[in-house]
Amino acid sequence: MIELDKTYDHTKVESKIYQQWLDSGFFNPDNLQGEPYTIIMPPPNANAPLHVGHALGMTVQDILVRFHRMRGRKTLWLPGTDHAGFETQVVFEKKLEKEGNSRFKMTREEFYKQCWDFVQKNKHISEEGIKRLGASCDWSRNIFTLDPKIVKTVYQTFQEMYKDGLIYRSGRICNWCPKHQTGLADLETKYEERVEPYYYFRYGPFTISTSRPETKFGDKYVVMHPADKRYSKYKQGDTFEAEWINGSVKATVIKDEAVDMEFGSGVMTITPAHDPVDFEIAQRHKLDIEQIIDKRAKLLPVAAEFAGMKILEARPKIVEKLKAKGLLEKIDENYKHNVQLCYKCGNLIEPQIVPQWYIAMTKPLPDGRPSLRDMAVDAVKNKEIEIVTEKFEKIFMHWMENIRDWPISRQIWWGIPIPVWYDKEGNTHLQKEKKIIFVRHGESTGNAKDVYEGQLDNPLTKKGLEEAAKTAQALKGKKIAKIISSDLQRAKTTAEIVAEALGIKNISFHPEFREVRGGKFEGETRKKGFPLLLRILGEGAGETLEELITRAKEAWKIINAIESEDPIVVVGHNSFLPVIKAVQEGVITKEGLIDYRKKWHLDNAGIYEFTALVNPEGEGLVQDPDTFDTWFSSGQWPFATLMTNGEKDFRTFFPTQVMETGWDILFFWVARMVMMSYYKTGKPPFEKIFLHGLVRDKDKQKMSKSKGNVVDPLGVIDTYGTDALRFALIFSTSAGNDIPLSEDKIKGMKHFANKLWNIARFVLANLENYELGIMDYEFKALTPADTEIIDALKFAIDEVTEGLENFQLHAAAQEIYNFVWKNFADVYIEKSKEQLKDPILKENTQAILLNSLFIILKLLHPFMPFVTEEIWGKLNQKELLLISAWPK
Amino acid sequence: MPESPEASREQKIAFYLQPLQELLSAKIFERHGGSTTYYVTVKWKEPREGSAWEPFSATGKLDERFLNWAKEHYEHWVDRAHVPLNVEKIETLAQGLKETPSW
Repeated sequence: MIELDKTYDHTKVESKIYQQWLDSGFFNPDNLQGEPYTIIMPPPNANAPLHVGHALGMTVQDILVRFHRMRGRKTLWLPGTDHAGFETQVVFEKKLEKEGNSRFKMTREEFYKQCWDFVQKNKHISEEGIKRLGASCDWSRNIFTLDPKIVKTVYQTFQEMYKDGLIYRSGRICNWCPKHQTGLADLETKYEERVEPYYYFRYGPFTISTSRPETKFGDKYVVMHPADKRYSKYKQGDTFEAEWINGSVKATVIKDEAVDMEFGSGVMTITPAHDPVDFEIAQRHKLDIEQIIDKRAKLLPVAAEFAGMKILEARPKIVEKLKAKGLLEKIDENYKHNVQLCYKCGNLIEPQIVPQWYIAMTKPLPDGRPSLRDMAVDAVKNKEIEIVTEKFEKIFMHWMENIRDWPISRQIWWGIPIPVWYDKEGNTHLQKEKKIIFVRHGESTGNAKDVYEGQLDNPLTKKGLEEAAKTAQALKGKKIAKIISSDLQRAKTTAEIVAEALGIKNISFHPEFREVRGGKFEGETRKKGFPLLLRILGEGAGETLEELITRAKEAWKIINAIESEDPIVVVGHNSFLPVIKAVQEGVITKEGLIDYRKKWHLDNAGIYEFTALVNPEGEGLVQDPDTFDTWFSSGQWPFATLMTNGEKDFRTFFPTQVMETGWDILFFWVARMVMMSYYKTGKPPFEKIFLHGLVRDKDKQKMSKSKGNVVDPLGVIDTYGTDALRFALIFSTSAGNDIPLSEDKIKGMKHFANKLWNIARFVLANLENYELGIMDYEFKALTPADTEIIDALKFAIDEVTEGLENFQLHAAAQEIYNFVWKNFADVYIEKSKEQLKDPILKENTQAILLNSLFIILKLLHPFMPFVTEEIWGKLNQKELLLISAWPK
Repeated sequence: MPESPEASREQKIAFYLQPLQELLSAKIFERHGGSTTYYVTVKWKEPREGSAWEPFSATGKLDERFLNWAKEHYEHWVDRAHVPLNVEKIETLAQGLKETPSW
């Protein structure tokens, strides 16, 4: 008889079970069969540990993934972390501030390096957190948003959009944060109602009004509505002298419909450099635009005696001066208006004219497709993409209708640099595309024996020769510019065979392309477990990391020197070819190269075609100093991630099934993913968008450190276990509604995990003479209690399944909870105590108890994976519960 | 000759290299158009995992470099086991890897 411990101790179970799952390989869909089911994990920001919102998102996704895996789908949940450009820079700058430092005291390179290290540390912490939450994601595909492969996809998209005329650079006015020194998208600003004084001044024959007198130094245009009869005697272009802050100015009359006749005096002066409406008026009438305020929100020399002052300091002084000059008419002290603030620091946005890169949202595509906005709107309208719930569909549509062009450049350092260079004349230069075909040599005598050859100069085998000839045939029809090859015999012969078959005379051989030198491993069999760079770069290595990178750079130089639009064939070796590619893409760390090598394999004489993006070179070329808005790269996340692992992943797993995330980033992220995906792939990135609510405290208050009501997920896990946290989070999660969470609730769910444990103990303790593992028991005469529990169980299976299919996770959780606690524990187990004593009823009862337990474990597994797997393991099952079949 | 236990190491090596050396100096290729690339394949068996003898082959352009490799190969094996390299055939890609010119 199997006995369970008296109590369930999650601290002894969770890491052991997680390791079992990892070892099983079933998080990786390559080891699963069936129709693909894919969720791409919203990558947590790599700037802080996981919070309870992450725990909720991870739990929801893990439930869906586990459910579909048990239903026989080839399930991929692809994890990652986000460099989170602006967000991370803000966090990191705060850290610097605390240390008495600032990014403005560092070089860009220093800052980037320190920020990189900071992010790597946090990335690791957040990955460990994800594991502790029980996430059954495929870690072999784990990826970071700054992975060179992702960056390359982002750059390619940028090039394509630029060529399609969708990306443009414009010196229009943008939302400028003087603290963070960057432009921001409309979405990254917030509005706050404030009561501030509103000033009325005499300006020549007119009265003008403003809440911001400090912007008025350069004002020399006075604007009124063309239909305003009060000013009909003034004509467009009339000029007059007006006494103003620093003396007399020559002002010009402008008539424009943007002026509200009902507001103030119906006359205004404009400050085109610092106000979006004024800017548009200036554009329409081709007026001069003069900057008054610098990027740090200080007045420029145009302000004369006020120059260098911060605007809030200058404002009363300017008013005082105008008053002294007799130009102040009145002040309305209770003027209510909305001010625009930076969503991160809450500082006032100071509109500035800073050239930014924009994506046109409403411009039709040159290939005849509708605009990015319209493709996304059509997809939701046509139900190609379904948003759960409908409430969000309406919000989505409303936002899309009012969308403006998206500024994608940020004046920050932490992020993906914009791949654009300018020459002295200000012309734009993009990266160049270079088509490359890597060919691995045919089978060599060393390959045939499965030894690592490194730089041993072995010839091909007969088979290798035939493989090379076959590869040459596969390349026929391609216009090839040149063949470059390693000078080692096996590569050289392969290259010569290809050249001869294709009639290519332009061929050269170089020692720079030789295989990675194996040092003491050269000539050793692979069975001793080496050929990854991991060993080669380790003890007894043949080449140091620096030597390897230098050689890869030299090899790349040889390739890069060939100016041709036709592909260049490079014949080389399985370990060094990826190093050339990786180094060209900017991977220069040992870990990065090893990771790259792990995901790389070319068969003998195998072909790998790709397009490299090469930075332009030339005298005086300077790279754009800005970086991309983080959402420009994460907007490409679903296809970019799946494209990093070769075409097969993309073909198999795209479009994905579900995007699960918080409703607060519907526009920041979800809408952008939809637009970018249609642009790039012509397909939706996902079939369904499931938006969860925000986690709040039990009184539905927002969690915040200052209120002291924050639930730290990892702390909770230590005390109550992952299962308890997961179940508490899900129990009251309905799509889009905020979720109240308290420690008591989590504690309650810990009791539920214990209850399940005790149920299992009871069942196992009463199984004497009953064979474990029998699931297809043929029931004999049933008692009313038996019939009742069997019916209830069938009902529970249907309800839980339906709930999970329809994203009613809370309903599914409540159903199984009630069944376990009430129907099974309170009623049937109590009845069974009597029935087990009856020799006629005993076997039936045992079968029902055990079968019910099996099904309960399966139904509960997606919600409470650890305790269910642990109990399952005690039931003599050959396979893990993780991949057992979902009950029908 | 090399089978004889009395044959020296050098004699054994020279014996097996002889056909390749002859091929290299024979200029037989000229009969087949001169500019065509020829490949030579040698076959042999090696003891693998200490017991079973497995067949292997090596193919390369018949030149000094291939000869050097063959020499190193002999030098490796002559001390360990009796592993002859048998020159099987020379062939051209253009001829579909089939023809064996006579020499």
